[in-house]
Amino acid sequence: MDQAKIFELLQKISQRNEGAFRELYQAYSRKVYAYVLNQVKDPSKAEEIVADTLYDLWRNPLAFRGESQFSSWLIGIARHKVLSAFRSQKGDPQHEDVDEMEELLESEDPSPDEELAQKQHRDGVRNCMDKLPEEQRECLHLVFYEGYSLAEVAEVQLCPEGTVKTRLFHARQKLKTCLRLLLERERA
Amino acid sequence: MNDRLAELLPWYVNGTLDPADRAWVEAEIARDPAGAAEARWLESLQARIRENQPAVAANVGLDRAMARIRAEAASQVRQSGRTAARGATQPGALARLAEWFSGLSMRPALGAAAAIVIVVQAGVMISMFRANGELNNEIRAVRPSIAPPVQYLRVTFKPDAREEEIRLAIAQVKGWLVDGPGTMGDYFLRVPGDTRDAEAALKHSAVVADVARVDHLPTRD
Repeated sequence: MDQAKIFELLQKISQRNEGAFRELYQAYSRKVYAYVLNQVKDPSKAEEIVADTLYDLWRNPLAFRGESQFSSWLIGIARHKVLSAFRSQKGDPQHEDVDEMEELLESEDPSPDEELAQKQHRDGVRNCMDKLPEEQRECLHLVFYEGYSLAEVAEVQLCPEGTVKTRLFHARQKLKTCLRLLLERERA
Repeated sequence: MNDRLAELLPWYVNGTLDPADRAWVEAEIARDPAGAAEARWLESLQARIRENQPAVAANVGLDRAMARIRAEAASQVRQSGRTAARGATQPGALARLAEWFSGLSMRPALGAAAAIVIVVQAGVMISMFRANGELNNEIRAVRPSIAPPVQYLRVTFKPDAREEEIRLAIAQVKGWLVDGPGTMGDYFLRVPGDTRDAEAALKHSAVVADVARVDHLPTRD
């Protein structure tokens, strides 16, 4: 959806037009849901956060001023809600996997990237991504699923571009090590 | 593979590099097998991540959002209904006076009668002043005696305080309302005798949020 159409719908939403809200909702809900689910791992919670995010849009549609992509602006709102949800949880299970990841790093296998590119599969990638710290997993999602530029990822993650590069570097290293280990196990 | 290539490859793969950097990366991976293998791995990774995303309907959570919107709209309608009803039944000055007296445990008929007496008295006084214009001029010419400064009590009641409780609290210090409630919810009272005693008594009232002695009533624009 182009920016002019988005602004037209936002203007209608500001006049309490439910049809315009539904149109914008259905155009962006899947994108927001994919992002939120990647972070919270709970479909029911993800649905709740998507509804909450887009309800914010209903309440204040003119808050979007076109200074960024509309989707990255929406994801920024969703991110805030995801972080609030994490804060309200005690003992985030994702952090427990970081130590395990460190152990995986120590057993790095020098298998060529080419083989990894050929044999890595969807479940393996998902399992290994789940072991990453939140910011790194989020960074991979924003780069490879959303296709955001470096500046856009930095804007969503509210950090300098250098931090994004560092997160991405570590995420790639850990992911590669984890995927290699999985391939080793499958071979055995 | 050099550091710059490693740094630019993710953005090359996701298509967000500017043309100059893109050309540079393409030249590098053409001559660097490790760089080319990394690029192919990242392309495969991107494909797997995109495959991984859930197949979900476009209206995911929409019912929930619409329910909140409907609830908000219903709440606004209720609120505006209450405001309109208040506006429609807003009593006049006479009715408010009658209500005030009836609130002080007077029977409604007596309250109304007392209010009428006050209004009639006010009318008589005004007509007397009009009839005795010269006398009024003399009264105005007299230099006023220097009266001691008047002190008022500015009282803020708790948001959940009911009207009867407010009236009772004022009556307990034998006070009377001289101004308010203003936009900030402040009431201004006069009390007989020392305002400090009334201030102390009001501070202990369960319905009073704040009380202070002031020398002036708020100015009105």
